[in-house]
Amino acid sequence: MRFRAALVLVLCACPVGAAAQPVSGFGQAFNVERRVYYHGAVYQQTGLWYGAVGAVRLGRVQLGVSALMGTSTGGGAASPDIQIRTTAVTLHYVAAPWIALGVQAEARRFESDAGVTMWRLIGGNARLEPGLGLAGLRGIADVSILPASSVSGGPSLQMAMQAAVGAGFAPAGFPMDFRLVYRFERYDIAASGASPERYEQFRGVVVQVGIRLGR
Amino acid sequence: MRLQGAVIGLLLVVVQAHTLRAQVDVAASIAGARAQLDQFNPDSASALLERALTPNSGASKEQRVRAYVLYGIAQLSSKNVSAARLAFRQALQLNPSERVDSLEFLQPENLLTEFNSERLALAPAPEAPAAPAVAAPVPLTVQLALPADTTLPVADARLPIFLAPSRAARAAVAIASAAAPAAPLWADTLPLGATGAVGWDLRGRDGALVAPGRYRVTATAVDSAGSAAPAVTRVVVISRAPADTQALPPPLPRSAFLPEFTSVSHRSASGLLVGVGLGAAVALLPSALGRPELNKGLGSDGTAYLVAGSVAIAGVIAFVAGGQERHPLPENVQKNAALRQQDAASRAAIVEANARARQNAPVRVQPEGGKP
Repeated sequence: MRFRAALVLVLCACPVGAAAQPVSGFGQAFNVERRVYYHGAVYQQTGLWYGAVGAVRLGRVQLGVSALMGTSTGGGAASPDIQIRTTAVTLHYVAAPWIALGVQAEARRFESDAGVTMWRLIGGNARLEPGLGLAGLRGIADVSILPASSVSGGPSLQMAMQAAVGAGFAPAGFPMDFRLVYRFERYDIAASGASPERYEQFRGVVVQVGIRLGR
Repeated sequence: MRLQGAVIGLLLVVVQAHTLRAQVDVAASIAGARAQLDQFNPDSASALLERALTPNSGASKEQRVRAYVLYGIAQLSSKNVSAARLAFRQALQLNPSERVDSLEFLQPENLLTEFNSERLALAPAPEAPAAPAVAAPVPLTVQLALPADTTLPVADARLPIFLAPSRAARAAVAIASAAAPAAPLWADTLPLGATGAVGWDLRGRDGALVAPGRYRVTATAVDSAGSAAPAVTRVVVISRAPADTQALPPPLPRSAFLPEFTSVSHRSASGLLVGVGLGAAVALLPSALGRPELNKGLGSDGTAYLVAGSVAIAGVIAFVAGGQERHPLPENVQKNAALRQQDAASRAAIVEANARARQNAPVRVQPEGGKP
């Protein structure tokens, strides 16, 4: 609950004048494949998550939020179906039009028949969008290292990282923006009591379609 | 009989001589009195004149008139006004047309006043004026004539307006806007008794050319007796003749200008490298970042290759298509600027010439209804 309150505070701290600044908003779909290694076995689930991502830029500072929700199914009896809801906030310093460095805080909620589990993922983020030499066409590389992450009421995460690499295209003269990236996430959860270490990874294609205003 | 005749003749001679001497004395007395007046001795002058005015002085009528006048002057000088008036009256009774202007210098300031007063007192009462003839008075009229449809140049414009009173009178003309006839814009008058034309310069009180519109021309006349002729009014329509203007040329077409930029295809090798590099990164991402425990024995992710290929192809396309860089052509920019400037100057000159032509367009004056 404290994490959610902090998230709300960050969102409320967004300046009132943000609407007059460059702003972007996307709808996104994540065709996700989840793999879990536990007790020497690998369980695999698939699913389609939907969500949105938006950002507003104030000078060289950019505040972004994103949300995804969906289900992952097909892991068998040992890996029950889950409903996932994840919300993230990023705060970037835009060093150049093609590079931004900042911090990320994310809450991820897993709900299954076995109960509800919450992850807190906090760390740094770097986003690169270098031009490819053709107007509006750019590469995308987004990497987050989240060392201050833990499972709520459970063990900490020894490794938490997210990466998304792909390309984007924003046609000249139009506010539309299209992104196609490959997303990969890795989480190593430390052993806790009788539970051994558990490794999870999420990967798949993310498609984002949105608009940018005030470029 | 001869002796009787001789005595009578002698007596006549004596009488003639006596009369002649008396006349000589009268003339001497009058001349002496005149000299005494010159010397401001009115009393001496009066004594001499009294002698000349005695009934048996033998003074002639002219001498008596002269003596009375001088006597009156002497009495005036002695402040004896009533005696002076009496003397003047007697002189005027003898000669009503007698004047004393030539004696004014003899000092009595009231000489002319008193003398003329007596003249008026003796003058017969004026007769009542004869009743005017009962002939019917001829009314005074004025004729107004304007030129037929005429066109006048703006500079030195003169619209002749002919005025002809029916008899000797002073004719006048006034011009006002038909919309405000009570406020004359221009007026002129002919000399008394003259007939002829006055020239309106088509300008109002402010000296500016009157605006196109309807104007009322009103002619009047007044004779020396104050009789006025009924006003005669005409309306003229003033308009501007079409000005000889030039049409503005159409705007310069795009083809008239030289290209100010040249586009150069710019292939970005770095873009190609980035695209291919990111594509490779996508392909390697699962194995490079994933744990071997999770990926061992499982097939690779085809979606990763799909994205990797897309990104790499995007980089290649960007490289092949290349970016277009625009390079300015300063010479062409300069030539185009000169062309625009020349076109603007030409247009400004035409606009100015047209304005001048409209300003100097002749003025057309038409009597309304075609009636001059």
